[in-house]
Amino acid sequence: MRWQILISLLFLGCLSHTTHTNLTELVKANLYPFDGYSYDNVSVKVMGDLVYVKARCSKLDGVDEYLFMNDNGTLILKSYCLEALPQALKDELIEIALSNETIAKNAEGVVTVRRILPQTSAKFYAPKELFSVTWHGNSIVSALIDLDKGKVVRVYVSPSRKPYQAVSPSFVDFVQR
Amino acid sequence: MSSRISFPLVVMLVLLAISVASAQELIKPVPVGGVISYKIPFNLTRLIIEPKFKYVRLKPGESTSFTVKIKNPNDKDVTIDPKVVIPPYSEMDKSWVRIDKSRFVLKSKGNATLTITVSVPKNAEKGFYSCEIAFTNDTLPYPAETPRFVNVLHLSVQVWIPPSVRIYPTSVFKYVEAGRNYIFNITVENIADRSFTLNPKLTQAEYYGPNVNYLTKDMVSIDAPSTIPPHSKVTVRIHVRIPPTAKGTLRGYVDLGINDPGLEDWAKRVSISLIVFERPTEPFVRIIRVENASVLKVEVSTGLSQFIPYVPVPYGSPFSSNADVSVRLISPHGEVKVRPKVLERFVVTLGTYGPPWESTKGLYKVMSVGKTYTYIVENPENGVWRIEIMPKNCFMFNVEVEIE
Repeated sequence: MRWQILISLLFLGCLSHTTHTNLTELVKANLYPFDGYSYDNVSVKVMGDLVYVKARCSKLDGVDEYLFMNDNGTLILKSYCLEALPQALKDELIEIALSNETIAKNAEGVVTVRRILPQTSAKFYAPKELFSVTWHGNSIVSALIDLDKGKVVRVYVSPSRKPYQAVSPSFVDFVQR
Repeated sequence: MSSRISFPLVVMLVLLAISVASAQELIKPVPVGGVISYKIPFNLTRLIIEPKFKYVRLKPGESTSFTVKIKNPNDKDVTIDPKVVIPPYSEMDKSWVRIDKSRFVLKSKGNATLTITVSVPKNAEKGFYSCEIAFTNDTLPYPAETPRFVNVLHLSVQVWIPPSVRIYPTSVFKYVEAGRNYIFNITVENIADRSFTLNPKLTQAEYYGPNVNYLTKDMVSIDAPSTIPPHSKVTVRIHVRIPPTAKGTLRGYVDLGINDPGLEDWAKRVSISLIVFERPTEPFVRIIRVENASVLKVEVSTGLSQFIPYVPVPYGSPFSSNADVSVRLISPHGEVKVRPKVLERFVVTLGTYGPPWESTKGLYKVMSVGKTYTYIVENPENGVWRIEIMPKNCFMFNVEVEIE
């Protein structure tokens, strides 16, 4: 695998026990490229304890982004947005999502397809890699998909609102399981 | 005194006696391995197992090993008796999994590390397999088809075969015009030493939603060779005839029917999404009257793809970033050339709003882009003005006209 690691070290704090080489190795060990693919371009940006990673695979559309917290040499994954996926798979997932009537009735706007890692999926369905297909329109409409079973396992629809207008989390509404 | 007992009552009493006897039988202690064991609900010995879930991906004939840490937080020693438990729906065989330690006692507050080796037989079929590795015999006291062990590691094994055939593009997304014919070329590349067969067919998918129609066989014809020789590329030509009356979105799949066992079903298909679009030949025209105004201001904003329902619009698509308009301002005495002020708009989220299963907080995401062109004419000529707007690569635009 050809790694092009660009490390932009913007030290607002300092990496107490971690050298740059160690950080590169740490980051490598904590990335999750899509099954069967590997990253060929990874950029790492350090801001104090936070480590931002953007990873690309030339054979895939989209970018995978990770936000880690560096806890004395241990990277803790805080956030991630994994959109580097084959286009055919994205189409397949959108198709599966739209086979759910709630999704089909509410879906509008820009659609995103993201991978959900097992540690997150465990809270909502099972500890396995799932996919989230989300429409960002007047409301947020999302399907959590188990690709092995080819079905929608959870549905989320936020209240209707103007695009990207602030919504209190208390308005969050699960429509069906 | 004579007593009379009816026959139905006798039957009821007999049945009651049988059921009581059966119940007593059920609560009898059960001998397990020579030891009398009573199952007491919720009095279970729990261990800390890291990881609780393990996923491995192997080709047929491959093997891999990983370690599992077991911690005993209890105040008593616990007997660890690792065993592989295959759920009824799994086709995995116990022989696939080897554990380096057998029955042993884990001291109170002690730790142990076990090495688990997963070996996939050469003749295993592609797919997902799973099992549990139970470290103690503790089971949940609920009725279940199979015992539900408490101290387990869930093991998921994906058996895969590397694909030998590459297909590109795998999706066709295009705006088309009714009554016209289109040809979409799909390249199929074989990187293996053997040949594969090709048998493309149009297929339909389940699809809800208004304004969505299926591509039908009378609209689609496919030219393709029947084989893909080793280390070669072939072209599949998909001819689509858009009926003159077509409306909305036409969708379908072409299943290329390639016999490469490494390709998943979804990867053998080419997705086709065609949006029937009536390309305007004339600009949008708005007539306005100007009377003694100091400023005429025209703002034209390109619409964003977020208003198009059901259509996947990936970032970088011409319809999300290249939406544009051509504007002409025509005064009573001819066109007025005005250099517009251009304002670009981005909607950026910090991952705050989304479904609960997306952990994107703290990451910037550009959700949409748009442009606003502002044309300002100082001291516009009195009379009737004509505003002409020709859209490019967009379905909608906003217009604001201000006369001061």
